[in-house]
Amino acid sequence: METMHNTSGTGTTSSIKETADRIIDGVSKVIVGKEEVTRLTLTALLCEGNVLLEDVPGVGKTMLARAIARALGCSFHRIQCTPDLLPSDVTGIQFYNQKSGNFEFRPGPIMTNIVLVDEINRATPRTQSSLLEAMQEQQITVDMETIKLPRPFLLIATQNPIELEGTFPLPEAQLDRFMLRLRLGYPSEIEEGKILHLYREGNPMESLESITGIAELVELQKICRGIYVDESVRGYIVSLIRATREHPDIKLGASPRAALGLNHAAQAWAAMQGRSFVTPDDVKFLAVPALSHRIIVKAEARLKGHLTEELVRELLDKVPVPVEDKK
Amino acid sequence: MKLSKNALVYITLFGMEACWLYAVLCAANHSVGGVLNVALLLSVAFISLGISALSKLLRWPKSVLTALGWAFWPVFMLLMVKIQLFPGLSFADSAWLGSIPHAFSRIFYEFEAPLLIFLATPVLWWLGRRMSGFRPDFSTAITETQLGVVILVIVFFSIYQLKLEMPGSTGLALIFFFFALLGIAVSHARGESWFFSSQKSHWLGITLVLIGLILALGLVVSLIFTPDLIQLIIDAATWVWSMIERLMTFFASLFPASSYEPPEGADMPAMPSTEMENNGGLQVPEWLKPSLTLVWEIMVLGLVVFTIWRISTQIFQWLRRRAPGGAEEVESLKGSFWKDLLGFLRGLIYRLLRIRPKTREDNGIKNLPPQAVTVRQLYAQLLRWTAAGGFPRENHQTPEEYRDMLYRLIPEKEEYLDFITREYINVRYGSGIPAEDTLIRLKESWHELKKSGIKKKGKQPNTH
Repeated sequence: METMHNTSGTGTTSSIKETADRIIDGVSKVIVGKEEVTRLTLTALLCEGNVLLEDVPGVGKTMLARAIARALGCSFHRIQCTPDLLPSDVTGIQFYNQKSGNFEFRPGPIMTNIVLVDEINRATPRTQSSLLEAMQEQQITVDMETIKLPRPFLLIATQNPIELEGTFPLPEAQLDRFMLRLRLGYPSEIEEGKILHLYREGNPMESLESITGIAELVELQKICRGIYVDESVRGYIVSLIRATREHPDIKLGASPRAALGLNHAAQAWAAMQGRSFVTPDDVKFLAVPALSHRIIVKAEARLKGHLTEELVRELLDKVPVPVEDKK
Repeated sequence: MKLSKNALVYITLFGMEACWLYAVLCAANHSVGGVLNVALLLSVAFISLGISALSKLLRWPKSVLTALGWAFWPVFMLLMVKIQLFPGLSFADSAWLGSIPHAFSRIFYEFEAPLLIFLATPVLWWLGRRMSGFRPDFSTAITETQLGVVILVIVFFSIYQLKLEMPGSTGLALIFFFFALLGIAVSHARGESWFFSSQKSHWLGITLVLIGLILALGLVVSLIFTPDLIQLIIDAATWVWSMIERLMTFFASLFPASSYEPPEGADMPAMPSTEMENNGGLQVPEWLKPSLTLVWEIMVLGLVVFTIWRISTQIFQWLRRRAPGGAEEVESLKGSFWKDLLGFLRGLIYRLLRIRPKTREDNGIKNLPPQAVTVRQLYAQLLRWTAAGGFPRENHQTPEEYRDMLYRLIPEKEEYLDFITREYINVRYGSGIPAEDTLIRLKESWHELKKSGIKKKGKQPNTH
C-alpha cells in the first residue's frame, strides 16, 4: 500500500521489528517471561528516554539491564545508590595528574551507554539532581565543563516500593523525566521453574551474544523519530493528557513533557511492531507505563485505594478514540 | 451503602415523575369535569413500572417481553374505567364496557372521561416502562429535573391561561424540587460512602440552600407579582408592540405610492378600514384568531421553556465543574452564560445563513484521495451496521479492540473483519492509499460480512 505522509518506508520499520525481535529473543534466554518489559525498555532506548523499574528485590532488574546492554553491544555500568553517594561519584571528577601537571577528567560510571542506577531513592536529593541533567540533556557538568554522554544513552533507575525508611522519595520533577515506569513482577510458577532450570549450570548471560551495535542503534533511533503520527492520534494524545488534568481524583495531571514522551514512545513502539505509523492502540498500550508515575493522586483518593494506574486506565475508558463517526 | 444510595436516587427519580405526571393529569381531569381520581390513574404508571422491572428478570427475547408487558395495558385500562366511573356496576354488566366506544362516538361533541382514560393509560403505561429503564446516575437526575421543570411550567401556564383551579400546585412544585435537588445531590456524590464523603456537606448544603431559596423566592414572587402587576406588564408589552407596528407602517409609507389607476367605471370593493387599523394592516378572520392566539402563546411559552432549559443546564454544568474541590480554575457563572450565549448565537447565525463551520474532520476528508474516502466510508457503514445490530462501538474503543469484540460475535467472519479493520487503520492513521484490487477485496469482504447478519444476543461481551 502506498503511503502519503510517513517518512520511513516499510522496509526500514520491518528491519526495526526484526532487530527488536532478535534482541527480545536473546534477552529472554536470560530473563524468563518478561518479554513485554524488555520490549518496553527497548522502546525507551529507541526514543531516547529513561526507565524507572519499580519492584521488589530479586526479580531481575539488574539482570535485565545487563542482558539488554549485552544484547545491544553497549557498555554497561551499575551505580549502587547509598545516602553517602556524592554527585562526583556519579559524574566523575577532575583530578590533578602530577606527572603531566594538568587536571584530567576521570569519568564517572554514568559515562556509558546503559547505566543502571540501583535504588535511586536511597541517594540524597543532591545526588539525584546530578542525574537530572544526564537524563534530560544527556550531558553532565563537571567543574563548569559540559560533557556529552555517549549515544545511545539509557538510564534505568530502580526503586524498591516496599522499604521506604531512610529513602529520599524522587521529586515530581525527576519522576517526570522518566519516559516509562515498569514493573517486572514475580515470575509465574512455570517461569520460576524455568529460571531454576536455566541457572542450574552457570549464568546464561555468558552465552548471550551481541545482536546489534551502537551505530545501528543510533540509526534505529533516527528512524523511530520519523515514524508518522497522524493529527488525529496526536489529538488523542493531547486529549488523554488533558483528561489527567481534569480528573477530580488527580491533584497534578500529566505535563506537556509527558505528552511528548508518550508521542515518542508510541513512535518507537509502532516501529517495533513493523509499522510506519502510530495507532491509538499504541498510545493506549503505553499510556499506563508512560503516565502513571507522572500524576499525583489526591490524598482522599489515595486513602480510598485509587492507584495511578487505575486512574489512567479509567481515563482510557473515557477519552474518545478518533474513529469514523457512524452517523 | 451503594444499594441505599441507588435506592434513594430511584426514589427521587420516581418522585419527580409522579409530581409532574400528577400535575398533567390534574389539568387533563379538568377537561372531563374533574370526575376522575388522579392518584388512582397515576398508579397505572407505577404498575407498569413494576411489571416492566419484574419482566427484566425473565431471560426471554426482548420482543416477547415487550408484547407481554403491553398485554397488561388493556386490562388495567378497563379496570380504571370500571373502578373510577362505574364502581356500582358488576364486572359482568357490559354497560361499563360500552362506555369507551360510546365516548369515541361523541368525540366531536364532548370529551368524556372514558376517552381520557383510554388515551391517558397507554401514555402512562409507556412512561412506567420508561421509568424501569432509568439509571440511578447524575445525568438521569439532571435530565428528569429539566423535563419536569419544563412540563410543570407548561401545565401551570396552561392552567393560568385557561383560568382553571389547581389546588396544591405550590406544594406540588416544592415536592418536585425537593426530589430533584435531592436526586442531583445524591447521584453526584462519589463512591459508596456518599453520606460520609467530603462531598456530602457540599451537596447537602447546596440542596438545603436551594430549597430555602425557592421557598423564599416563591413567597416574594407571590407578594410582588400580583394580577395587577402582571396586567401592567402585559399592557406595557402590548404598548411596545403597537409602537413597533406604527414604526413598520411609517417605513411602509416611505415607499412611493403605486401609480396604477383603476379604469373608469370599475367597482372596487371597499376595504373595512377599522379592522385594518386595529390589526396593523392585517385582516385576520375571526374564526382563525383563537388558533393564531394559541400558536402565539405556544411560541412564547416555547421560548420561555427553552430559556429555562438552557439556563438550568448551564447552572448544573457549572455547579458540577465547581463541585470537586474548588481548587481548579473554573470560569465564573456569568462567563459561563456568556460563552453559552455566544455559542448559541453563532450556531443560529450559521444555520440561518446555511454556513457549516468547517471541522478538522471535514478538511481531513476533503483532502483525501477518493480511495481513502471509500475505505473510511465503508468502515463507517460497518459501524452503523453493527450499531443497528445492537453492538455499537464504544467511544473509547480503538478499531482493533472493536474488531476483537466483533470476533466473539461473528467468529466465522474473522478474516473479513480483520481485513477491513486493517485497511481502515492503514488509511485512517497511516494515510495509506489502497490499491484498486484492495478496494475490490474490501467491498467483497463487506458484502460477505453483511450476509452473516448480526443479531443482538443480550449483554455486550466484556471488551477488557
